Parts: sequence; C-alpha cells; structure tokens
Amino acid sequence: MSGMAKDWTPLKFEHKRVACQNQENFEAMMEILELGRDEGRFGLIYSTAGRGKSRTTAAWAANHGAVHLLMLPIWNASELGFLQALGRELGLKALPLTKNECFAKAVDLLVSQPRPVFLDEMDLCPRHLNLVRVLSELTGAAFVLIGEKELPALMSQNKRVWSRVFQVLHFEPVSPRDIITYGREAANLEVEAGAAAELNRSPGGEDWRVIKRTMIDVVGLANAKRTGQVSVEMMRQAIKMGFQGVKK
Amino acid sequence: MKFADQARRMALVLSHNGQRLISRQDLGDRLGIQTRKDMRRVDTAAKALVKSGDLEHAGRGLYRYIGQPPAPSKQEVMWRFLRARRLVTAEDLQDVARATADYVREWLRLLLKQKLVRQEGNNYRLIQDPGPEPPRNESKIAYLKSRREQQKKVLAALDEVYLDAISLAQKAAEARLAVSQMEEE
Repeated sequence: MSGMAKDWTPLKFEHKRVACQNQENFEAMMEILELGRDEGRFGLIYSTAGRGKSRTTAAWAANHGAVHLLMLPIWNASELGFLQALGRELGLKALPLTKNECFAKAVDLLVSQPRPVFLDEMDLCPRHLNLVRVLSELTGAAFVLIGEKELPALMSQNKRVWSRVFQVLHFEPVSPRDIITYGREAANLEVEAGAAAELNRSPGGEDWRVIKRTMIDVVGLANAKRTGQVSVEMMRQAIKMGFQGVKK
Repeated sequence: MKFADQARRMALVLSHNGQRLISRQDLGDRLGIQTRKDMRRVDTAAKALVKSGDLEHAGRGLYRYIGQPPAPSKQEVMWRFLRARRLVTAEDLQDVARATADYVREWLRLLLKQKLVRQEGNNYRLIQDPGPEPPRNESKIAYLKSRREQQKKVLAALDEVYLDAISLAQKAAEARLAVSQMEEE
C-alpha cells in the first residue's frame, strides 16, 4: 500500500479485470451446471443492459470451447436461420437448407462433442424456447439463456421450459466493494469506502468503462499529491475531470 | 500437429469428453491408420497418453479418457471472443486470453492485413467472419513451407555428396588393397 512517502514512487495504472461478485457467481453457476451433465438443463442469466453479462459469458465460452450465439430477432420468423447459425458455430461447414436436416446435424454435433451453449439476447427470440428445450433434452447439453429482465417471465410462462431451469443468476450492478478491489488491483490505490460509494453513485458509476476512466484520473491526482490514499474529495475531483473531458 | 497431439484430441472426441470407452481400433480408424504395421504408432501414442495420465486401460484394447481437455490456444480464445463480441479492444483480448500486449497487437495486425477487422480508434470491429476456425497466418505458413522445402533440397544434396564420398572412399580402399597386394618384382 502506498501512503505519504518522501521517496515517492509514482503509481502506475494497469487495467486489470477484477473478479467481481457477478464473475464469481457465474463461475459457481457453470460448475453446478457441469454436475448435471447429460441431463437437458437450462441456466438463466438476466439483468438490465450494461452489467457485463455478454462479456463475462463470451470470455468464459472462448476459454472453454463453448458456443456463444447472439440471437437475432429476424430468426423469430423461422427456425432455419437460428438452426443454421447454431450449426455453423458447432462446426458445420456445409449448412443444410432444410430445418429438419439442420436440426439433426446440430443434435449429432452436440452429442458427439458435448459443450455448453450460450444464447445471448434470448428474450428477443421467445418463439424458439421450445426448440431449445428439445435440443437440450436430446443432447444433454447445458443451454445458458441470457437476456434482460423480461426473460425469466417469458420462460416461466412455459412450464416445460421453466421446470428445466437449474440455475438462475441475476447480474448485480457494480458495487463500491468492486471499485475498491479494482483500485487496489489496477493501481495499488487504497480507495476509501466513501470515495468508492461516491464514484458508484455518480452518473455512469456502475459502468466499468467509466470507472476505469475515472480511476486513471485518480492515479494522476494521487501522483500529484504523492499519496496512495483516495479520499472522497479526490474522487469528486476525478469525477469532475471526467465530465470536463466529455464536454470537450 | 504432432501425431501424439492428434491422438489426444481424437481420444477426447471419441470418449465424448470422458464419458465413453475408446477402442484401439476406433482410435486408429479416426487417425487414418490403414495398415497393421501403422497401428504400432497408435499403440505408441496410447502408451504415451497412459503415461501422461490422459488415458487409462479399461480392458484389452480399450481405454478410458481421464485427462483434462486440451486448453485452447491464445489465438483460438481471442478469435472466439472477437466473433462473439464483434467489437473489442486490444485490452479486452489481453484480459480474456491472458496474452501480452505485443502478442495481441501482432495478431490484430494479421487480422487487419487479411481485412477481417477494421480499426475504429481503440476498437477493432469484425467485418468479415469466415467461421469458428481461427484465421491462419498464410504468409508465415508459406515461409515455413518454403524453408522446409529448401532444407529438404539441401539435405538431398548433402546426401549425394555423402554417397559420392563413400564411393570415393570405397574406390580408394580398393586401390589401397590392390597396391598392398602387388607382388614385389
């Protein structure tokens, strides 16, 4: 920890992804879903936009060889578009032109190489919930459905779908605790609880991009004052600097 | 990819991620082995996989996959993440793939060169998606291929020199023998 010091070593900012509460909860959820291998099952992740659902799940999928597919509202008109996109993600080179063939190939690929499937913005394609349920049942693969607040309600309307939901995760907004951890990890700063709450309350204070930008300003101020302790006053100044930057 | 790595990947696929037993014959078939003699390569690979803790014996000619699935390469992780997100920063890729800034920059340069992404300030947008397989560095592959071919040619030329030298040495030895056996007059 860097306090007041005569031999001051300037603080450096290095962006780091901190394991916030949402991340930890998500990892736990995936572990539990893995335990139910071979059973058709759903995971459900929901929250308002901008809380990192897509990013967190895409990063996990990229590192674990899972499928991550963004659902498009135009697929509501027909299942073929959705099944072709799923087949492509599963590794199909020549995409079948009929729904039946596409469905059969997707099932074959998921049975021979089981892996979780993330369907992002599923709330935009509610008509395919039953199709996804059947895919999950036939293949035993875990399907994790991601969407906004409306998704749980859409799923609970369909009893067959709802009864197969094993795990539900609500993505919480960034908390002052996450900001304190981020300050420590990224720049060795000791952010006071009040200062973290001040940033969290400010406009955009629940968005990681804004938090990162503000923290870079905080590092500049901390170096000018030769301290690693971030007070409420210093945080207010950094937030103000951020707004001035936006005005320009 | 080395034969042993191919065998490991194939064993993982055949075992359905460790849920089914794998037969030696199936493994050989999937690895494109056609002769009984070549099956020895499969046996050697299987033996190595048992030793490394990826496979265990489960009866005569049968194995069980008990290893961890092979970790994807950094390029695979970055490519999957880029396809899922469509718009990323170099920092995002560093975070997700745990890669160095230089490595990510070089990979993004390759994608820019192949016109798969477009730079928009600090962001990179995917503008062409050829599919889940990560793009290959064709120029590097061509360079390595030409280097291997050159190496092959040089080795062949050296072999010729070697054979010439042997035949010369043989002739010299014969001449020496002939000289030593010459009767003194």
